[in-house]
Amino acid sequence: MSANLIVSAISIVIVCVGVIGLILKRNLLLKLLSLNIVNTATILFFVLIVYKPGDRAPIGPVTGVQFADPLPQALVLTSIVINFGVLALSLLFTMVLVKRYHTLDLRKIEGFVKREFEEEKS
Amino acid sequence: MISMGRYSVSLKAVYVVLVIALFGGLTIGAIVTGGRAEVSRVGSLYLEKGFEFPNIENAVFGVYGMYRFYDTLFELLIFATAVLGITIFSDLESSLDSEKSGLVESHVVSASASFLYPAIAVFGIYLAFSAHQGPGGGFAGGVIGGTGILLLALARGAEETGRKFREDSMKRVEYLVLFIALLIVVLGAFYPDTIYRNLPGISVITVVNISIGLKVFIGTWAILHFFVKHRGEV
Repeated sequence: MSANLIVSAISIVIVCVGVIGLILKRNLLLKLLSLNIVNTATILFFVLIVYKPGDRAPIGPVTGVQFADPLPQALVLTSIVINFGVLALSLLFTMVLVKRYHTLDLRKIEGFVKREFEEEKS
Repeated sequence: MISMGRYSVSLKAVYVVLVIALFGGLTIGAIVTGGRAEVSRVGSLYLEKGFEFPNIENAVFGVYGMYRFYDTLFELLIFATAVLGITIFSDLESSLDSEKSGLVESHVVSASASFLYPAIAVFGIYLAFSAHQGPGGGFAGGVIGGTGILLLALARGAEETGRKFREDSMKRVEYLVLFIALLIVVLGAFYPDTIYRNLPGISVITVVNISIGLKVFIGTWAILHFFVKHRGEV
């Protein structure tokens, strides 16, 4: 119980670090890095849900053994693969933005986009 | 928002504090009030029923390969969409050649890569083949094969490795794999007993695992090769 609380507190702290970075940082790369940190904390939380001392990995029709819950393990697989794909695609879009505007600062990019939009309008 | 200056920053800080308080309070409350949780109701159902299939001994594979195959299918579709976007941009950018700045070649890396790559590839294939009977799975096998190719690219250069593995035909194989997964889902919806139970031997399980492994392998290599190509050299 107490170990569970400690690990969940750690995962909450890591999620908080990620969310703070996601909201307060203006650099696009740091924002993506924060998103990755949030995903890592989520995986840690899944591990916390599954882990109980003495449980075995759910392999083999063995009787008389307490197996670990297989559902969160399958969900962690999904989480890892989708995080990989989303991170790669968003890095690609960041590269396109940098090639066009030559900056990673989100405010400057917003200003450029706004100016372009107004020029197109007029 | 931009013109507000200092005020907008403090508003963001309030958002941060709110999010943290909500998330932390909910999580700690759930853990304290939940007590010592046993295996969840759905999870114990999967554990009971999963071993009833004749060939499956790995319950995790039973979840993502049999009961929640739609989940896996849409995961594959999302991964394929990401790889498709990266491939399109890679084709668009191919006309702009970046300056090649290869690292200093080390004989240790190239010798150990050519020595290690066959073992890594065999291990990945083994994991994809035997996932229904032991630890492993298509995802793990595919990622292991993809990182093995990255090691090969580290030793011999990305362009040569891409040419050696015939990327153009590999992209066709990728869509063939998606088609196989869709086919299994559709046929399994109409004839569940024939597809999932009554086929002799290793049956559809290994097909599922091999196709997932191939998909992840090709996608990983496509993503890695795009970033390597854009950077110049590994």
